[in-house]
Amino acid sequence: MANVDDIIERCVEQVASGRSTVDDCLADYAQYADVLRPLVQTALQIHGLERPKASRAAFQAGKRLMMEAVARRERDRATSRVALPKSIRRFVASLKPMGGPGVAWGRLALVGGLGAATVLVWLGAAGLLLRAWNSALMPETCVVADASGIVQVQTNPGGAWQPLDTGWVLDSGHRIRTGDPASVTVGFFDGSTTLMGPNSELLIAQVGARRDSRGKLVVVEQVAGTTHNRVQSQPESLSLFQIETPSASVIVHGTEFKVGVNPDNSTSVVVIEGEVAVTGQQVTVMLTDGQATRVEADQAPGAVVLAPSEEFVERPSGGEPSPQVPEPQASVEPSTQDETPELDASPSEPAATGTTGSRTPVTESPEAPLVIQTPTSTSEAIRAGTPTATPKPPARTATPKPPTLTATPKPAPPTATVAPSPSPRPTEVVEVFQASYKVSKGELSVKARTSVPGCTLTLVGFGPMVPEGGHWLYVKEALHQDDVPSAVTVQSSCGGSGTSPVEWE
Amino acid sequence: MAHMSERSDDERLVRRAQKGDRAAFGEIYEQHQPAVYRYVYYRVGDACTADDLTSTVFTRLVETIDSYRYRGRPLLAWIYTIARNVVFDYHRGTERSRVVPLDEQLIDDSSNVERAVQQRLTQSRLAAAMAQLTEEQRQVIILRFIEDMTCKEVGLMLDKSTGAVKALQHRGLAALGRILSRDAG
Repeated sequence: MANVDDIIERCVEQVASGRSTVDDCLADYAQYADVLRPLVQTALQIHGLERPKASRAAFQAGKRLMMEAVARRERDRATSRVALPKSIRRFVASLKPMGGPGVAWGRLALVGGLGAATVLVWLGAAGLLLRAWNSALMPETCVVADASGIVQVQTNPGGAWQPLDTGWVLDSGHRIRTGDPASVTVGFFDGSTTLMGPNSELLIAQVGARRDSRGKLVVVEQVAGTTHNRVQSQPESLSLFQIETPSASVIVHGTEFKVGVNPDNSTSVVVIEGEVAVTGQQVTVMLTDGQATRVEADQAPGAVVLAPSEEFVERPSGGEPSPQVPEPQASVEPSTQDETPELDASPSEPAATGTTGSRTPVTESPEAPLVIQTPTSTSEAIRAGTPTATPKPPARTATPKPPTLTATPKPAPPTATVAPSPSPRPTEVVEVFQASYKVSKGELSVKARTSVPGCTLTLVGFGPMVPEGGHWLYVKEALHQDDVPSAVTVQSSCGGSGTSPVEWE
Repeated sequence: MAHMSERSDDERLVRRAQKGDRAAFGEIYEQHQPAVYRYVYYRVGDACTADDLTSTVFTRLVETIDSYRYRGRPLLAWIYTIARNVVFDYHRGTERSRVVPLDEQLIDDSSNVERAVQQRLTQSRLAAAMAQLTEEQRQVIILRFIEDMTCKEVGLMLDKSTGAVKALQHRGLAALGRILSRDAG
């Protein structure tokens, strides 16, 4: 026999599904009808209510906040992954000389050993405390330079947006956005700069330096729009410059690159100089000079492609995208090479000492959109960009170093340099400057370089070479002597090639 | 219902999230935000506050995801636990008397203004009445009649037997009926 609770459930189900009415259902349980009726009706009333639902805007805002929390979590995890093992290694290393030869310890009395152990424990604890104190992150600031157009700052989450002007000092937690047309350059304390294009939004998540000056940290979250970033190469291995986007994470230690967050939340990255590792969905691709990739939301990075030469110069007004760029095309930040004349710079003003040739932001206008069309995707950049000795094409040889932004609120006006017109790539020279075979290890090692940045090199008969510093490298271990060629040929993706005899060592 | 069949997927989804897979976090949000929002709404009775607290729930989820261990209960059960704590913190932090404002979300339903007004009042009344239930009764009522779960699924969610769920359902409905009829009178 059914109890009251079962009857409630049965009646609610039958009435809600339209198979019965309250009266019909309760007719089967007449003895409980008076008790059941209000319960069933209340249940049906609740069941029939329209469900409350968050507005779409609130839904999206909540998701964005959650993804920002995810980005913070990843940063914290990355920090702990790096810092802890190193601390332990160093601590252990510091203890070794104190331990002395094991034979000597064997002759010590038990009391002496315990005493030494106690001292070690105290020293270790003090060392750890000192290390923690030294590694503490001290907050730093950044300075706004060359704000042009509508540029606003939000100093508190959810707070009001205020006009932002050149010379403002920004802290962690400040959010910047630009209108259209508008641009602004954020100069970080370490000399790195980020030029924001129109319709961009950036959160300065964290800027700081270790108390012992052995590491500098810049973390920004690029919510929308485009940025052109120049990251000062930091000798400290603990330094980090990181850009988080909705779909990718770009970590750099010293290079120049562009990041674009497209309307569909995909991310486009173009590396101008240096090397960048782009990671999305735990898949990493390496980019070097002139290469680009694109990361669709929730996907791994796409194929690495050569950025068209137009990316390194200002595109003419209304110009069409480079026909060399394969589909799909990604909109990335406008080309803002240093050689490009500043659109709003006064040519009559002299360049200040120390900033001559340094790049200042270009104010893009809707009439002359500086759009990079690439089918690339990007995620993480890792290695310090080291200027290579490789000759560069005209459009790049004049590339100056990142401007050293100090606390000077207003950077000196730029030198109006002449932008080289888009031109075909120069004749490529591929130089194989090392080809050796170490008999003892059976190791074939080939090093080569190309005169045209952005080209990739392959060792014919063996496989692709990998970028290393300013050149390309191929190493094959355990290669039998019978398989060692007398000469090797390196083929470039841009058409050039070079050959060198293999020297036996 | 789908709730049961999705249980095995929860473990994989959480593992992906714990490894830092952003897409997994996105999936969690897409799947569970509506239910969490409804739960929070019926606890605070205010759409704007429900928006904020729901957002806080998922931010806290990200911060504590590493502590989650799958033990056969649905992921949503864990999220409800977070939501309950978030709402508790909210109530503890607000000394003011609770106000049940009009449900702003239903203003969008312009096709039938009269019905919307009626609906609005009913939702507000229900939210106010729900606030007077015990926590367990409130959860059972929400899961059973708002989220359309069976008693067995509710039991799994709350770690209770089916019989206990039915008893809570009975007492909750009886209390709600009394509260609503008293307020109407």
